[in-house]
Amino acid sequence: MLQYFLRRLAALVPVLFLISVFVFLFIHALPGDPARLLAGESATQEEVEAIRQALNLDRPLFAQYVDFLKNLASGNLGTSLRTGEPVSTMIARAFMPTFWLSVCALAWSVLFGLIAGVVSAVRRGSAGDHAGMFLAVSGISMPNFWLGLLLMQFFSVHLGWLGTSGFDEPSDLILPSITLGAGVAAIMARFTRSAVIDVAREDFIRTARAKGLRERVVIWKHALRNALIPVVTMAGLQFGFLLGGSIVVEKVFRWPGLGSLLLDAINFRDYAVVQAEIMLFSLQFLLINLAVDMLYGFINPAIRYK
Amino acid sequence: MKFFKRAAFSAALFAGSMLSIPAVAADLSIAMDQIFQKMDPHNSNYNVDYSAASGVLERLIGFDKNMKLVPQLATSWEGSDDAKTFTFKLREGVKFHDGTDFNAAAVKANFDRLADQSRNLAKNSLFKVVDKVETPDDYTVVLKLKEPFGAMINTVAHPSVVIHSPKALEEFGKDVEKHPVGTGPFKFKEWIPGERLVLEKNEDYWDSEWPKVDKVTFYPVTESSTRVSMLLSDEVQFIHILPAELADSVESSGGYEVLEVPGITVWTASMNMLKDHFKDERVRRAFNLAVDQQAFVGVVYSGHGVVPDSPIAPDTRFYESQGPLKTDIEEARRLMKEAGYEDGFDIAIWGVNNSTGVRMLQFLQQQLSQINVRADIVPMEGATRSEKVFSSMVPEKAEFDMLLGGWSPSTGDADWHLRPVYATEGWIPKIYNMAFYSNETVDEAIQEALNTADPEKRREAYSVAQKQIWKDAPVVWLAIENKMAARKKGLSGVFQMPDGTMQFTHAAYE
Repeated sequence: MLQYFLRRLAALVPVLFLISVFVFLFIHALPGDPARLLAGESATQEEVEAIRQALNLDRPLFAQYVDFLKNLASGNLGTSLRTGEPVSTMIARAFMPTFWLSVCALAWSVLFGLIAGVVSAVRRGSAGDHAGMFLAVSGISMPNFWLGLLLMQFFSVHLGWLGTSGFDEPSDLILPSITLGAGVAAIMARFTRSAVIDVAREDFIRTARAKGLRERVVIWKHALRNALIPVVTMAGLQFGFLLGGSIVVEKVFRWPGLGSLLLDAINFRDYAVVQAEIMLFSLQFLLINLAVDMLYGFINPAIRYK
Repeated sequence: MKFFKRAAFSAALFAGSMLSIPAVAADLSIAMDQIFQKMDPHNSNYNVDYSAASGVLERLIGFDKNMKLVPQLATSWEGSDDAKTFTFKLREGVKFHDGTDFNAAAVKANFDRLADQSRNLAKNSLFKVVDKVETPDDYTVVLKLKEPFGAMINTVAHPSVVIHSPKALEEFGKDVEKHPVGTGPFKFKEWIPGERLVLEKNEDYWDSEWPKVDKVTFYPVTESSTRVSMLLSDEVQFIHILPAELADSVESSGGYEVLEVPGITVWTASMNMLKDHFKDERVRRAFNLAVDQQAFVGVVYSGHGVVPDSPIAPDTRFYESQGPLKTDIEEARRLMKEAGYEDGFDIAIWGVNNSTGVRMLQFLQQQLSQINVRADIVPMEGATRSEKVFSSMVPEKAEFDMLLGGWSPSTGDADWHLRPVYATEGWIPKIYNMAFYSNETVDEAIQEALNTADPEKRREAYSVAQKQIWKDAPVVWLAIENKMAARKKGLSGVFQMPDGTMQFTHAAYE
């Protein structure tokens, strides 16, 4: 198993290399001139040229790519065009807020989604099922900036219970994680529901019932456990997305995370920051996928790693 | 750790107990609409940077709320008749936050930094005309220019022309942008990029009456609804900028007031005069007559703006009214017919793709259809538009017929509006003349006004330029949007300026 894990880990290297090429080409292919954007709309051409030279943006593209790769290989993510700070410092600062937000959002949405999904599956066709799935569809469809503003309006402005935005204390996590998790919870609920319904048709469930097991044991132990594989896969995927930082939710809640950083970086064509962030997202995704694969073995001992 | 210590408190909140933190009356919190870039105005083009830094770093000359010049670190100033020598008398007994004395040598260190074009600082170009900086005595500074530049006093008043402590400039070098040390009423305390910027009271400020608040915290909040929520939940006492469409929700909440001043940004739709149809003055006049500017202000700014009556805004120095803009569809149609375009023609209008930008484009499209002009509107993402307009623009090959833009003269002087937008030397991509307008009378008048420092002679020259431009109508004048902000009632001394910056140094609570 360890061998399998290490082999998978090694396989990440060429993937990341390919991603680096794509990311570099993609960001440089975008129209937009960082020197002009930094200088501002009202700058004269002279001011723009001054900035271009100061930032070495007048070097040929290929030379810039070689620099980027060289730096990357030595673990140096470069310097932000916009702030002059090392990109690694900026990402380190933004990572934890996004991490906490993602963990909280995922925790409540998985818990809620699993319970709602199983209950809906068991009471299939009942009023509770319909209500649950109505909520789920609303959760998926509701634009989260709107949900965020509604929550903020009610809990912060109207009731005054929570701060509107920013991340100064743990309670600041509540509103953004509810906002961010709403869509995930809805997806999880629908996914769990159909997975449990599928499993419930299987022979071994009938056998379990025939053995005289209590319904609760049949559902939560036998059905859910077997339904869990696709659900865990989906949760992993969602976690990958969340860790990328939600641009919309982070903007609404003034969250000092990766999403806000990425938005600012894209608006200013801050190449180094965008490249580093996309590389980081890719790495996170690859690692999460790997973790999910490893998890299968624990959920279903029949799965073996070779 | 603070984080965990507060966890208990948050748990209490979560349980639903209605705690609220009483605001400490002597602190001020402000939400700004953009993120801070650099705390070195010499190297920044952004109003948010100028605004926050103005508490720490002072200028020789400032602006009052109507953009009139007021003394700051200089007590008096004058320009020579040939507009080549400008003399500033400095305030005595002022110290920088690091204990260094403020004097002529300190000013020279800063002016030399601005004049040294090899530094590639964002605002070096403001001092390009400066030949040398002289200090005849400890409290006199003389600027000697290479060529006459009548707008120099307003240039020195530009929000970027601040005085850093010479010791800080030496010690930090370019990093002074993270460690501003000035003479202002507030000292720089802390800056967490993207999160907050904190200033604290300077106990030894030269004007013993100020400041009256102990601490000022700025939050960059790019989402406007969030800014309003922060104000209404008393997390901040001032928000800059308030979008016009949210003004009602602030006013109806009670306890808060909306502040509104006419800006100096004039919005226009430039007509590409290198294209045949716009070479005809009748067509350009017809376009201006076809557009109902009052309705434009209503649609685009929810009524929070005014219709221009000159190429420059009333609060810009040397403004002169050219009479109201008229809307007259019949006359517009007649002019189009006379010019041979009774059936109109097809044009492309470029703009930006934010909601205001799209509203502008759609409005123009609809208005121009009244004179049979079929407009293809092209909303572009900001960075893409800026690349197309400024970086890869070749005037003769320009693909647009009309281009939306707004110019704000950051020096508050007519020169820095008329020259970039209407002089031949301003043709994009060089500065901001998007109509490729070129008129000898205008060019000469603009130059003439620079050749003297005498305000009356400058006024006459700018009067000539404004008249000629108004007559030629190289652009469709659209609107001067009001600068809007909101604050908690009882707070005074914090307000937005016509140029889009903000002042807070005289903040006080009732």
